[in-house]
Formats: sequence, structure tokens, C-alpha cells
Amino acid sequence: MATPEGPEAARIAALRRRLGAASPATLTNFAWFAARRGSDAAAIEAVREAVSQPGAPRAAWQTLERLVTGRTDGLLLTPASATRHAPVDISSGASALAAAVAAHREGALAVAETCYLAALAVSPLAAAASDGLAVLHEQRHEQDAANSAWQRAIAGGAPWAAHNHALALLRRGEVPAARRAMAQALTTAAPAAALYALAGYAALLDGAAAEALSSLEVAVELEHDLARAHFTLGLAHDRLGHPAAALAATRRGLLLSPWYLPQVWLLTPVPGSPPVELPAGSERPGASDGTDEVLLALGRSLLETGHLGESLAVFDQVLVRDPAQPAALFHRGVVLAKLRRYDEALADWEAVDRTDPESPLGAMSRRHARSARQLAALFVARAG
Amino acid sequence: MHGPLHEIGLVEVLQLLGRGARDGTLQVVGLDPAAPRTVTLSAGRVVSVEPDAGEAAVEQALVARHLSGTDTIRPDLATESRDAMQLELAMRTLAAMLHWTRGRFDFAEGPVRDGPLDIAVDTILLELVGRESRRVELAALLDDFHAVPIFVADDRLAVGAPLELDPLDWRILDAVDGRRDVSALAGTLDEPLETIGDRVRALQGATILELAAAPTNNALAARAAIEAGRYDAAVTLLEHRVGSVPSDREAWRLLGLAEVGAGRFDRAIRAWEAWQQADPSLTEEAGALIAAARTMLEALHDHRE
Repeated sequence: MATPEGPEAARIAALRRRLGAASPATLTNFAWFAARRGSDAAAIEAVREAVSQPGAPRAAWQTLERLVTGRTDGLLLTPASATRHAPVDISSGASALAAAVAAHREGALAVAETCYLAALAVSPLAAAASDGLAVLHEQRHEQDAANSAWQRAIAGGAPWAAHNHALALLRRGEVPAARRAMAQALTTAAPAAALYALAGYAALLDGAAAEALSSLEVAVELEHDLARAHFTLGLAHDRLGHPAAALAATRRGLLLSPWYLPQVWLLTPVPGSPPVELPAGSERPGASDGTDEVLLALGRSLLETGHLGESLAVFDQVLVRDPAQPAALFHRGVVLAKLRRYDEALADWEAVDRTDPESPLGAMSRRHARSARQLAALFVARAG
Repeated sequence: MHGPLHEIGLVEVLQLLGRGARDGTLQVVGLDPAAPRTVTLSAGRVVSVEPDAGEAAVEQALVARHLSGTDTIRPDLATESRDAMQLELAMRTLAAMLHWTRGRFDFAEGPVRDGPLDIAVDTILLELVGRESRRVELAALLDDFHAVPIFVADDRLAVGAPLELDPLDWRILDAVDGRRDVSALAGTLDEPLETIGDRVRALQGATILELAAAPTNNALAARAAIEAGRYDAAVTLLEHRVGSVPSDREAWRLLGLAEVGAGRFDRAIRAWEAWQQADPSLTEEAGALIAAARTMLEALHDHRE
């Protein structure tokens, strides 16, 4: 990793000191500046600080992803107005519930619990506080406490309690129970897009791609900008063998968010306000298996629709995170062979055969590798 | 309505269309017949300027300014940032077009669809006049834009009020290298001179940058030396100049001339190549000189062999 020395490093350090406790946008822009001046360490430190703050712009996440994978190209600047989500106000005047959600989102679970308990005593906040508390218990694997909190939340009419409860059931592996709970919740008046999206995701997990499709189509109709619904819709189309529709849905999702986070807790900071989303099951966005699944589906769709360059880039992206991912290696081999880069295709297929010889992909890779060797030999002969 | 631009300037044409609240498409061809511009007017207001302020141009400008990427995943850039970029590109294009004195215009009256812009002609003219005035004011404050911004000392940089810099400020800081003057920074960043001048002064006020005096311009003395046939003296002066201000196009051109005068065609070619690089719009003129110098070099080479 590049590190400038002498005056340049001192200047970057001085500028960072001057910025102080800066906004996520300023920290992202400082990271851009530091990285271009060769100070990758200072850049990573700043952008990490940016993404740890509420309302971090997408450019911050993109910068972080690039820098941690050793790339300094394509870094972005961001105007202050790019921040889409206003941070939750946790100043002294804010309600106990808002403070609880803010602490919960930051992972300060003990603080969050104390604040939720305080909010339980305020009648208009009690149902939403129970819901938040239930999520918190679920995260701590305290299932009985979570269940009883959800019972109170659902009975009190907390807006996202049915969604969060169904998500908990899904995460516990109780897929049919989760689907039943959601089917019941969807019969209530005006269910939200998020619930349809989760129902679609659950159906997909349950192998019911056609049912998933219809739920997800409703979800994106109700809320055009719900990225996870578009991503999951892409997966459903992929399962149903509709590559062009899968590609369109996944691309739409990617325009809205760089990450596929299908499992999201929804917390209410202030009754009547939009929910705060808390990704479930992953310490950092982008680390979830869900993203790789979407990327693989996207790569396959791009391959099937003839977008070879983009497809190659997508499989590369998966392999940056997991260099031995067999499906990505296999499909990248196919793309490379279509591009007549036979030696590289051969290397990918041989890698699949080494890592996963018994699987159908391993067997196919062996067959493909044989063909690639023949073609490569032809080129060598012609060159000679 | 149509006519040559040397008879009626675009300012007058736009004012006529604006005051008449006309709908239609104004096609303007300047020096390059292959690059016509289309200004669409609705009720006398400019609603689009194509292709310079079209969607593709806006995206390209955002990418060049590091505000958008070529990746599939785009940043969550607010609509107002895109709109501001589009407006800026339109104003810049119109500003350039209003100075055209060669070429022609054709206005086709008829119903038009709404475009992304909505600017009154008078607003455009006032804005452009305002920019010109600001440029004149700043030229006086910034040594005719030849002042060279440099970072203040680290101990001063680290203290002071916390900062909220915008993306252009960061691009300026990135381009500051202690050699480029304000004019060169504007060229490098492809931003208007007055915009860069204003931001540099703001960064100076925030104790981030300070201005070094413009390096002595030896071009006048060098020109006199060339005219007096003192080519080596001219080369010395000009090399010093381009060393301190590599963006000085005129100095590169004169350096090439001085080298030719001294019979060093290979060095003249290098100087003119740098001249060409400093201003790609001079490709044709510089290219012709380089070709001539190369012919001379070859002739000399053949002769020596």
C-alpha cells in the first residue's frame, strides 16, 4: 500500500486535523484527496469513519470497497447534498425511542436496550419500542424474550412488527412459519412494499420462484426505489429462466444500491416516520452471501444476453472476495472462452476442477477444459 | 429566420427570439461545420442546448469531475447536482457561441417539447456579463491569473475553523502543485477562470492556500532576443519560463522558434510538441510547424551522411 513520506504526508495529516469531526461527505472527499496523493492508509481511515456515520453517501461505500481491495481508480467525490438519509436526532431533546434506534443502529445494544425500556413507559411509543426490543433480543439469540416482545408489538399495532417477526422466523430456519405469518399480515389493510419484498424473498428461499415473482412485482410497484425488491426480483427471474428480465431488475437494483441486503430489520425512530433500516446478519454491508448470489445471477444474465465485458467484470468482482468461488470461476471461464482468451478460460476451469471435482460444475469444467486445450494448441500451432 | 453570424450576432438573435416569446429550434454552425449546436426555445426561453448540455454531456462532465463513475453502480447524486451541471454546461456553451462571428444560424419556428432547462434570454445575458465582470475583477487580484496557489505551512493548515469544502475545492487542492498558476488550474480542471479564481480566493481566506507571486515572465525579453538574432539567450530565458510555468503556451511556441533560429530542429520539435500538448486546439498549427521542422531535420541528416 502506497504511503507518501515527508512533506506530503505531513500536509495530509495537517489537513485531516483541520477537518476535525467532519461530515461523512467531507470525510469521503478527504479520502479521495488522500488516496490521489498516495496516502491510502489515511484515505481508508477517513472513509471508514465516514461509513460509520449515519447518512454516509454511497460514494463513501464505493471508496471504501475500492480502497480495501487495493484499488485507487474510480474514486468519487460527493457533494454535501448527496446524503440521502437524514441522521436520527439523538440530541438531548429527542425522544427515548429515537435515541434507542440511533444507539441500536450504531450497535450500542446496551444503550439501546435502556432507551427502549424507557420508551416502553411512554404510551404512544410502547408498541414500536417493543418491536425494537424484540429485534435486539433476536440479535442476542434470546428467542423467548424476542417472541414475547413481538407479541406485545403486534398487539399494539407497531407498523413493522409483523415484518420483523417474519424475518426472525426466516432467520431461525422456520421458512413455512414465516411465510404463513406474512400471508396473514398481507391480508391486513394496505400492506407495505417491504412486507411484499420479504414475502417474495421467503418464497424464493422456499423454492417457489413463481410466487416470489408475483409478490416482488407488487413490492416494486408499491415502492419503485426498494433496491432489495429489485435484486430479489432479478433472482426470481433468473430462477425462472428469464435472463433479460433478470438483468433489467438487477441493474435497476444496482442503480439504487451497491449492496443486496435482503434481510433488513425495520425500526421506528418516531411514530409515523419512515423506518430506519438495520441490515440483519452481517457486520458490514457487502459481506453478505446475498450480494454474491445477486452478482452471480447478474453475471449469468449478462453472459446470456451477450454483454461479455460487463459479465467478466461482475464475475471478477465475486472472485475478488472469494477467489475460489466455483460458479464464478466456471462462468468467467465461459466468458473468457467466448472472448477467445482460451488460456485464461482453461485456467479458470482447471481451478474449478481442482476445488470442486465432484460437483456437476467440476465435471462440466473438465469437459470445457479439454476443448480449451485443443483450441489453445491450434493457436500455438498457427503461431509456430 | 436565418443568416450569417458576421451580419447578425447570436446575442441579437436570441434577444429577438426571447422578446418575441418564440417557440422553435435554433441551429447554429460555427467554425466547425461538422459540429452544429441546437438551442431549443419555448415561449422565448431556452429549454435545451444540444449536444453540449445534453444528458450524455452531463454524465460525461460528472464523470470528469469525479462525481459519477463509469461503473454500473452510480453514486446517489442528488438531482440538483445534475441540474446544476446541466445549467453550467449550457451557460458555458452559450457564452462561447455568443462570441462566434463566423458561421450561420437557422431558426425553425414550430412547437417544441419541454427540455431540461428553463432560462430566460435576459438571464443568460446578465449572467454572462456578470461572469465577465467578475473575471476582470479577479484578474486584478490574482496577478492576471498567473498567481501560483500553494499550500500554507502545515502548522497553519492544521489549525483554524473546521472546514466544509465542496468537490471543486478538493479538485483544486488535488491540482495544486506549486507550479500551476490559477489560469493553468482552470485549464487542467476544465472550469471557468472566474470560478477557479473565486474558489482559490476562498481557500486563501480559509488559510488552506496562499498565493505565490507570478514568476517573472521572460517572454518579452525572449522575443526581443529572437528579433535581435540572439537565439541562445532567448532559449535560456524561455527554458526558465516553461520550467516555472509549463502551461505557458506562448513561451513554448517562442522556444521552438528560438531553437529553429539556432538550427536545433530536434529541440524545436520537442518544444512545439509541448506547445501542442498545452493547447490541443492548436493541433493543426503546431502540427504544420513540427512537420516543417522534421523535414528540415531529415534534410540536414541526409546532407550530413
